[in-house]
Amino acid sequence: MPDRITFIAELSHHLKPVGRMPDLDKLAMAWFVLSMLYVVVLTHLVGPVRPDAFSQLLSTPRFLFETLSGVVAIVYVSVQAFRDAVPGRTSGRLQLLGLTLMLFWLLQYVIGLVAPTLEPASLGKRPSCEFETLLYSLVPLSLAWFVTRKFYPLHPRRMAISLSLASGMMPALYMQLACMYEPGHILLFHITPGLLVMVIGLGLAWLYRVKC
Amino acid sequence: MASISEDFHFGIVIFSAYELRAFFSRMSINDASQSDNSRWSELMASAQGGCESDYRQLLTELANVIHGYLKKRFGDQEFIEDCVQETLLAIHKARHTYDPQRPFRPWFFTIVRHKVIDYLRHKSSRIQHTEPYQLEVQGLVSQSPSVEDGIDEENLLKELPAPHREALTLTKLVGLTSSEAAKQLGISESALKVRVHRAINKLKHIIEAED
Repeated sequence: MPDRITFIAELSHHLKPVGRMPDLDKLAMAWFVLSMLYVVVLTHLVGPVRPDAFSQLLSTPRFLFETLSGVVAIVYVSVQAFRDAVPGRTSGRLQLLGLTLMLFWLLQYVIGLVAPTLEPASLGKRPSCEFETLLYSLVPLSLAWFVTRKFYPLHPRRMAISLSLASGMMPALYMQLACMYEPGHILLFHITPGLLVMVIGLGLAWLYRVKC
Repeated sequence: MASISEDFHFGIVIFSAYELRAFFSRMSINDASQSDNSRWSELMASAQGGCESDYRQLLTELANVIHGYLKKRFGDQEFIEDCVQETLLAIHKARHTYDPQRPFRPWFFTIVRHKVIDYLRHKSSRIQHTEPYQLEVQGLVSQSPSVEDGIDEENLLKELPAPHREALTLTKLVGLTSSEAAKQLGISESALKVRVHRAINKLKHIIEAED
């Protein structure tokens, strides 16, 4: 017991004030909007997007639904990832719901292999869309990691997986407008590189563990 | 007939009185935890501003709560004080992440639950680092019954299957090394490690389910 009293006295001695905790949901949304903007601008700078993509969004409700379900899944996973940086703000079940939303979105491309949403065509094909997807996700992931690791993540691996999944899927989602539409191509050249970003995320979590 | 009716009414009165008592008891517990919650929240907000005395008071109160929480779940074990201090350190490091607009208890108990499991996972390696000398196996084994005695009926460890509980008790509570505990239980070292791993995972699930 005297040890505990001394210990508490040491912890509270010369206590430094700490900054106010920001609103995590707003922070996650700001990150999502900034990252998406970065991906869109970069994609347009590197090459032209598929000419009829935006008109297809308006003319084909299933394509709009497919795109919107991707947006919802990414936003939800982003918010949960940021909440995971602070104790008691999320749970394993809520994280699982994010993965379910993500799977629901990706399942539509698998269904598309049999019954595609749009007529498959090579119109608008970008020569290196897989590398673009992989590279564009690095800046959003680094930014999110830099912000969230300063909090107190109790499950850094879980947080890193969610952050990297959201970062990887942002360019993968936009590629369905910027690149050719063919479900097999989307799964192999857009979604797979997006999922590979999780390996980088796991590496970051490993480094965090080693340093702590 | 009248007697049956009177008994029935008497039964209802007794039942209602019991229900009311239980209701008010629950209310008073909720009130107490609500008042703790808001007081701790205020103390932490003040500590975030740099107030040493409020922070000292908060940590003292939280230390008692953590101690009670662990004692109820694991019995009167030696590791509890170490675990209390490790959790206080975690709270200190995480204090900037507490949002005074939100309830204090979920933030606090998430850290407590996480630190307990983390502590149990890493306990044996810590002993090996801090005590390079061979542990006096005979002496420690003789302490084993007292450790088991500390496990009462409401204890979390009682919810583990006996082989898992034995493995966890010998390695994490008594402090034997893996090889010593394996020898004691008459199983291989790998089998012991699997049992300890499963015991900790089961404990983690039980503790998280308390949410």
